[in-house]
Amino acid sequence: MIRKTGYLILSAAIYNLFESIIIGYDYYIVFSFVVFFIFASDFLIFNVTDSRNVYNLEATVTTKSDSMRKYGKKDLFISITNRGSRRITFHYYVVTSDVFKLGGDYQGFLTVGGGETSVKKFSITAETIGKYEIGPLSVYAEDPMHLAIEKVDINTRLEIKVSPSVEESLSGRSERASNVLFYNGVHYNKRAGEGYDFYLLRPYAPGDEIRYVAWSRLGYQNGDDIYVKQMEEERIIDTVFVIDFGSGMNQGNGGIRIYDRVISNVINMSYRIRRNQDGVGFLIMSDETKIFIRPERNSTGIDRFQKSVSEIRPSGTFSVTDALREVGKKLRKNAIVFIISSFAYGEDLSRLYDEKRGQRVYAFVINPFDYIVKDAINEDLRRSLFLKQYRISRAISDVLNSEGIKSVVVGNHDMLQKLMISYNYAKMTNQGE
Amino acid sequence: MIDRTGPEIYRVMNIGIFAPSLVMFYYVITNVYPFMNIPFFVFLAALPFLRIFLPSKYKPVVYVVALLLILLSILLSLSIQIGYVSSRYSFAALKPDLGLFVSGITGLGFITMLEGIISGKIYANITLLAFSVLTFLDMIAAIIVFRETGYSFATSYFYVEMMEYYALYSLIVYGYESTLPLATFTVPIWQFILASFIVSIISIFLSIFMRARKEGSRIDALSYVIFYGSILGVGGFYLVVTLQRFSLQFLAIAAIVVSMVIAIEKTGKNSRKPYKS
Repeated sequence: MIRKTGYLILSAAIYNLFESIIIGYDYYIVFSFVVFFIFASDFLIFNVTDSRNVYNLEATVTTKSDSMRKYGKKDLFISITNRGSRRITFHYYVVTSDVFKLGGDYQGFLTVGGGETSVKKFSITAETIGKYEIGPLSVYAEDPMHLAIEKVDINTRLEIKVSPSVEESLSGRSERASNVLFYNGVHYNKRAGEGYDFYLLRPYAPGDEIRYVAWSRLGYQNGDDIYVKQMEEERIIDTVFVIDFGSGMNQGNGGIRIYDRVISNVINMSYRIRRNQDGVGFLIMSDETKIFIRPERNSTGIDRFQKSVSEIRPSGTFSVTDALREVGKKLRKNAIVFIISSFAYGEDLSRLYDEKRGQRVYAFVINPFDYIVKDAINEDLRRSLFLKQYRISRAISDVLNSEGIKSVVVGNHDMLQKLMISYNYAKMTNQGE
Repeated sequence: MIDRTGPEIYRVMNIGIFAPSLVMFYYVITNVYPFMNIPFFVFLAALPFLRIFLPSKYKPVVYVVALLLILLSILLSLSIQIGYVSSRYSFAALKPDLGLFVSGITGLGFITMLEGIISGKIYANITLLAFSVLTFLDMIAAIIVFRETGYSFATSYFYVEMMEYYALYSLIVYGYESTLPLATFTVPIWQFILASFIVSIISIFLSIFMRARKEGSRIDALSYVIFYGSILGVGGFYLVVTLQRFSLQFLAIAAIVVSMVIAIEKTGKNSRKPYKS
């Protein structure tokens, strides 16, 4: 294909040629002829050589395994074979998602002789979880003057599954984090029994365990009275994260995507909830995806969740009404339901109240403002969108509140914090079954 | 990404590409300056330099603003002549006379030449070279007519222009050219012009060669292109010269150009066939 510049030069050369004929000056005519034929020959020679030979290239992209961790580095190999008999010089680059940072020989100029194979190594570093394609391999050859180009996409594809990073899992799992939750968290209930927090003192009765005797209060009233400590009993409550996996969650750029941040925070929060002996379940939902992971009090569910999200990408639309209906079918009544969505689908939210089936539903309206590119070029865009986006998110949140769904607007940095606050609030107000 | 804009070295090559224009400009300016409105020519000649030093957002409007100023100035001059405006403003008026005309044409050639030298794009170089060479060749022909016939310079210039238009008319209507201006007269500096065209074509080769030395380019393919292009160019010229005797040169050029364009298009389509093992 001749570039626009090529057509311009050819036009200029033809114009020059006719101009020279009109003026009738021999030297100018020879000059114009030579200029015209140089450019015309360039296109002709390119058309019958490199432009055809580029179709003789075959390529494959390979790796040892198709899975990797977010922020991890993975080595891949491109093998390019020239099936033709003529040597060809071309440029190649691997087409892939912008969630990967590429390193090594993922693109460059290459000369491959007839029947020869060239192998190049490159690496990828994933910044977002999900399933992504590496490929096709885009190859182009140019004429010596860079006026014409022939581009071919060699159909070689490799699927890479990116699961959450080790750090994201460990931060939620660590003893330190769980200790903070146990001792600083809110463990409200009004029922005496086995637990961690002190509830009240009562007079000793035969049969009480000696370890609960409050020795500091021995003989407090009449010298020989004994008291025992009553502890608050923890009530188990399941928590289900309903995650919008529609295309609205794809908002963002590079390593900052809404769905990626949501999943990181949900994993983190899930480990904290599990440490509290509560069950954690997940519903990943859109009109194209529906994955339900039943609440479990061990890490099996969280592991399944991590595996599931590494194999899908957000697509389609999400309906809160459908999600609540689905939750209602699959859950017993007393559960905390956290709906996390971008609410970017124009759904009528005015009848949500009817869909609640006794669950304690909390909604998190994601404000996409934090996911807009942060650079000098987009500074004006960010400034003009700030209030607008916040107002939209706030309005959605108000509608949800009016429908009996406690909701908050969350950004990139305060999501985990608001999830924890809502969880603590839900625990605090949990009256049991 | 390959940088296709011309770095400074290409602009040095551009001086070589524009050698014919420079030689002709020198000849023209030394012969026509007595007829020129010098301040107006200086104003026109300053415009390309002004464009270089102005901030980029003002660059596109330089010529438009200059044209408006010139037209307003001519309008002012006409208004003064018919008495609508006081003559004290005549310092800003441009009289539409021979000086304005000669300065305008020479200035136009100078602007296209200088813009071409500054430009880093090869297609812009070639197009602007054609424009400037055409302008200066017309001027040279006018100078020759002026010397040989004793007509006024303006009449000589229009005489040359009329010859060109008639040549074009006779080409289209009768199929041959009858009055080629520069084939009729002998150009006094033909040796210099010939040398400058040789310098120009070598500079075009070198400029393309230097651009192609970037990563991924095939120097061997470039050599083929220049070799075949030169042979075909000279061959095409002799074919046209031969057919001139039969008044078929226009047909020959049209056939050459059309056949080359068809060949490029046809081979371009064939290249899209995928490989089959």
